[in-house]
Amino acid sequence: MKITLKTGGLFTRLLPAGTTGNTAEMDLPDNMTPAGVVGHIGGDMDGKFLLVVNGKAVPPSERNTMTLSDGDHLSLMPPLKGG
Amino acid sequence: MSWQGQILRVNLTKGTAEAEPLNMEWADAYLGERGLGTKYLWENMDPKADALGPDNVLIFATGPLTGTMAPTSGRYAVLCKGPLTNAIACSNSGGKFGAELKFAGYDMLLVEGRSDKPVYLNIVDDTVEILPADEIWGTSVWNTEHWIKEHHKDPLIRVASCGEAGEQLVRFACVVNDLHRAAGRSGVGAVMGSKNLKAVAVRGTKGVTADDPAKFMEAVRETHRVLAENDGRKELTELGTNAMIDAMQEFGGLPTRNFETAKFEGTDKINPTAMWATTSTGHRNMVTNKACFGCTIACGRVAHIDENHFSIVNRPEYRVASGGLEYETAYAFGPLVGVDDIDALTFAGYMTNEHGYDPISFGGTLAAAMELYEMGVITDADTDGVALNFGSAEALTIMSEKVGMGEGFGAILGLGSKLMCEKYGHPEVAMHVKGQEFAGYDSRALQGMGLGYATSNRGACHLRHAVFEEDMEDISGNGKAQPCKDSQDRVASIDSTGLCLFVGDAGFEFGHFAQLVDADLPGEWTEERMDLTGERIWNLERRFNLASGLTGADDTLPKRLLEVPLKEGSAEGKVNELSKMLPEYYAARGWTEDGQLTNEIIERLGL
Repeated sequence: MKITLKTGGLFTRLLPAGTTGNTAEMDLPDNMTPAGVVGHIGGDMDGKFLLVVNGKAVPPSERNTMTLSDGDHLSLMPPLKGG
Repeated sequence: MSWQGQILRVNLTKGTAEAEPLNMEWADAYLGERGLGTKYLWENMDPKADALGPDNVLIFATGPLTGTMAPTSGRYAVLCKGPLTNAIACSNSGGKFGAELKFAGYDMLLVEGRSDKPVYLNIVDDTVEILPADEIWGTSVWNTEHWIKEHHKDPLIRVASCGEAGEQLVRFACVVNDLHRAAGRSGVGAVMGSKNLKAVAVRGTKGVTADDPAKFMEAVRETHRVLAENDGRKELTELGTNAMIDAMQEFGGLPTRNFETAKFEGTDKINPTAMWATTSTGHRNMVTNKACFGCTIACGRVAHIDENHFSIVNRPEYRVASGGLEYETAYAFGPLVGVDDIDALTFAGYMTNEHGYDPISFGGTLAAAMELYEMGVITDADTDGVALNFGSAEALTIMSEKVGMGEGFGAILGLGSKLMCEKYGHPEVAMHVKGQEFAGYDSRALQGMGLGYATSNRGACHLRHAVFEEDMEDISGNGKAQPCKDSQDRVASIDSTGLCLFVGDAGFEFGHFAQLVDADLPGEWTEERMDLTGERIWNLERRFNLASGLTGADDTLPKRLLEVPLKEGSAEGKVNELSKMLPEYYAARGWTEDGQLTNEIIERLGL
């Protein structure tokens, strides 16, 4: 499946080489979970961060269970905090 | 210990400046900075006093850790009754001014009365002079600092001043120190201007120590290590606070066009990626980052504007590197008013520092004016001929200068959104709590944030509590009251240390604050004592507000947030659930059902 991955903060460092900006198209195995994508790009699932799929935040309890579909938009962002 | 043991009391009506001993009993109970300043304010003024009258008291308060080797120890707070809110105002700032005040031998500066002509205060250790400010009155923050350093032939003088905005009594004027750092919220700069006090210049040569120097240095080493290794710290260093704009956009909590929606189509043009990008003409917005006194994070941004941009194409004086976009500035000059022109945002940011006013309140007020304009309530005849449409970079840059100077429609904007919208008969357009405009978090998407906004003692503020994690994980109003109350108390105690709240986003646990304070001060400072101190501070602030005339009815949110559902994002279809959360919050506080303090609370906390 292909998904669009948008990143913020230090997650942007984990995008594939050659990516310009903070968004990349990713070709991934079917039915991967959001947590699986984080691991696939070398991210740390223990860290606290914001994860959004198709415009809706996904709480930590669902990141290992929900499965992604072709065409999904996944966002990995820094945790919400005071600016 | 790092207290110098004395405060400086200045009476501008009498023209006197006298040192007096720091009240150590109060310092033991209220810690310092925000807490101790609140206690001094409570004991030295009538909360019913006119915020812009001579009976208001203006306090510059350091914390016990200000000026020490602890990480981020440059903080000080400015307190008074706020002209934007008629509530207690307490805004803290970084830079180097606070530490310098401590080095001059003063833990606090307390200013009473009003001078009959413009003056500035010149402090050089034990020598304090009240000097004429004729040559700097009517000029900017930047000019004032340059003039004072040149006049006294000392480039190491630290200056805190009000710009033209403070002189013109703009209700959200700041006190700006070290050119770019500001005690930004609630109009503390207008109070400074109302006293005809243009600036405080300070030069200190005295050192500070700690109660247990060896223990203190061990805590300093450990906490510096924590910051050095933490990913949150690295993110703040590299990207600054504006990293938050992408997160809020994706979450769907980014207030856009005066809270019409919570997603903005232009974030990619004003986010950190855009700030660091080189344009086709070879310009890059970001120059470098910058740190305050004692800080190893350096979240401050230094930027410059494309010299071909319309805002400065004929104004070479602005072809300089200066303060760049932080999250709240980017939000308030970007999504909130619908503008995605990064150079226009940067120019408006320059104006806030140069003329001395709060970007959040200005953005909120301009957004309300834009809505009034698009409703047809105000027209070009009101706005000096400027088309105030959402998305207009020209309107943003023009009005950012006018409000700073208090000129034309800028003087109306200077009232703040509440008074401005009441003037035009549409109070529902103003998005505020207790008269103060919102930071960049829509409380329909972040329920606990909404409760924190509604109950904040200084009006809408995102930095008086910390329930971000709870809001991120659960978009309902369930279980938000107790964390809101507990975090308000913790933030109050952290704000009283002299350290920056942002170390909490960079690896600090609450115990690190207690560890540093415990090594710095006599007696035992545990997390439990810090929490109790924070609760005491919060309740004294509340007591000040109740005495000033505010009631539980002021703990509310605009109807738009309570009744108009979000159109998109994680919380699509949601409104804020304040009516459910507020009674739970009052119960958690131990207050009455209408938000009054009980005698039990007053006695238990020793208020």
